[in-house]
Amino acid sequence: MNMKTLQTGPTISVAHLAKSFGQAQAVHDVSFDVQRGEIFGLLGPNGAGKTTTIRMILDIFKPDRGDISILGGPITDAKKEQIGYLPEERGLYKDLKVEECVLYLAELKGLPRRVARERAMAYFKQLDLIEHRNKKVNDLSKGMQQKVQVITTLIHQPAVVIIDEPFSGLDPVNTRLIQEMLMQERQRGTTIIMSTHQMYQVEEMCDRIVLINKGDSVLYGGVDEIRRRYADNAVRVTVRGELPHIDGVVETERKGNERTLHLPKDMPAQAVLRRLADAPDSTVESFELAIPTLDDIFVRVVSEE
Amino acid sequence: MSKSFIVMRHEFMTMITKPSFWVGLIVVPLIMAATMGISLLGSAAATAATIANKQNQTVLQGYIDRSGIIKTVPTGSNLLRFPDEAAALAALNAGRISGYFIVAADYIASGKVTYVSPEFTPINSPTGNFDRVLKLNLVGGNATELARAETAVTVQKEQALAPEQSKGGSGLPFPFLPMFAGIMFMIVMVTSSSYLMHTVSTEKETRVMEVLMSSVTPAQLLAGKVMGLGLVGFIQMALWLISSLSALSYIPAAASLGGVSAGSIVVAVIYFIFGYFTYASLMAGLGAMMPGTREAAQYTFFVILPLMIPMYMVTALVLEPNGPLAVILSLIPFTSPVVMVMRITATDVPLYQVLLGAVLLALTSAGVVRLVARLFRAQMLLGGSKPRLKDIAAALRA
Repeated sequence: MNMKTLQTGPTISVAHLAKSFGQAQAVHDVSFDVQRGEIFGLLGPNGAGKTTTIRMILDIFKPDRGDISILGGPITDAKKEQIGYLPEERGLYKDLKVEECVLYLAELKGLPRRVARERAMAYFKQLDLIEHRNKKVNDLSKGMQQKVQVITTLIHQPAVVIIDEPFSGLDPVNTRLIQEMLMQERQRGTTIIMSTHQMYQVEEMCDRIVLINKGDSVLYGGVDEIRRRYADNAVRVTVRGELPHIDGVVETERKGNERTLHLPKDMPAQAVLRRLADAPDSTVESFELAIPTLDDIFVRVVSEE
Repeated sequence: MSKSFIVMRHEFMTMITKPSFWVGLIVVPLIMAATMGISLLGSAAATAATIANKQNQTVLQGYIDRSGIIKTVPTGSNLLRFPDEAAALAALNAGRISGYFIVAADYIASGKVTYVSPEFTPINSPTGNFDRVLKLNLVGGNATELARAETAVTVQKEQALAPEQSKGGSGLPFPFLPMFAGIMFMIVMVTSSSYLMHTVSTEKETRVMEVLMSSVTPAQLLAGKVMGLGLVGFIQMALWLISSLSALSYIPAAASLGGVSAGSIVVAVIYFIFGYFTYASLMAGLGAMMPGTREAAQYTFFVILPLMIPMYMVTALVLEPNGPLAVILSLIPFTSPVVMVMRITATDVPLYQVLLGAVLLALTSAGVVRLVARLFRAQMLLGGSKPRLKDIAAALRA
């Protein structure tokens, strides 16, 4: 019976997690839930405690404090076979042939060798690795190795995928390819935790995020909701011709042809749009609410901390 | 399928599909055979030279004639007659004679003469003068006696004073089988356990370890690796043993070496298994602690040193396999896998020593496995730097 059909609450629930190594406190108090079928961003600066949190979820490390529930309860050996893990520091057997390496790691995830071989061949075809399957891993380019690593993460069709910097080392074409694979996994109902520093990828792919800083979860919620929460009352406009004077604008920033107009809290953006539309010497080419990027929010939160 | 079994099969298959494994399997025994051959020739030449030198020194030799055929001893033969072996032995111990012959009571029928000397001189027996004296006494007109006189001295068994040195009686100038067995054990255990360490530190270095840790527990990983590479070592040793015994059976001088008893093989297997577990675990622990292969290799020598110690004393051990040094080293768990195998192929080892050595080795093996299991944990396996002593101590206490 598939565990994905049994489990009803959050796929992963982490509550008040803490872990120290000697005197060093790697994780102090981290909490978040990950719902089934969502792509969840696990963000934070280097050394914030993301990898330690992931290792505790995977049962590689035991937490000093706190609770972890995965697929409806504590982790078991059987549940480990329902998890695919792509660590940040890639690990493959350099001296093994590509196919042999994939099959071994798939078998350790409980996949029978015959099934593993069939699925591996399908992935090799999809990712353009079919001609390289009998080469040693060491003979592949970094990007190809990265694709092999993605195969080992997904080949057993896990219910949960935890991926750390999945796009590092990939060119734009392969980045798009892996992105599409992850989206397909999500459509299949797979729960994905993605840790990355590429905030535009988070904005594009993630439903919700948690930001960890110095071992604590400091920001948690839906991507859009968080961006709105951190948004000032401002609009970004691009106009052809002279930008007319608009009463009430507090500050104007210019970046190329784009201008960001900061407004008083009680001033609606429509007032700016109306004024621009009425101006005889200018044409509005673009107009949008100036919602901060996750990158801006990340820097702001971490700096404030 | 158990995770440990998958790891075991992977390690086994990876190892036996390496060309270097097959090269080692074939080349190592060839090198050893060549080395032994050269030693054999050199040793034979040296022994013959020593004997010739001693014969030139014209020392007295004794004899005990139980057959009663020696009536005449020409002057200048440098032979002293003794009424019994006790008197001859006393003279030998007193240094009055260099050795003595015992002419069997049924000498005419059997032709049996035993030579006793303090030194083991297997290639050439110092029969020179005595051979001539015997022939002289045998010739008496009787055709049978004359025929016997033509082959007057056929030493059936040469017996040195230390009785254990006579085991085998192969005619080889040096007991090579024990040495060969000891070296073989050492090589197999060192290579298997070193490769185990290599796989662990490579998995750390290449960061595969983190992927593995998400699928298997450290204990499952350790068990699979130890079993897989142990199986490789066992097969390697079995192949070497079978091929070397087969090869030796074609050498007339070494024909008796083929008669290694089933009991000796059982003892060897038991010592190999526990010895391998001990050293494989130690090496796995070393691999777990060190951040990479280079750092681990720096400490390898210290771990395998006890296995190599017997090699520095190999002559003393195989020539005196029941001597105090051999007995002690065959009971110390870190040297016993090699030394006990040398002893059982060289002589009859008292059963209590075999059992005591095996029990001590088994207990040590169990203790080492337990300690290493404490080191073989995720935090150590995923660490990227050399651990401090207090980290190791803390892990061992945990």
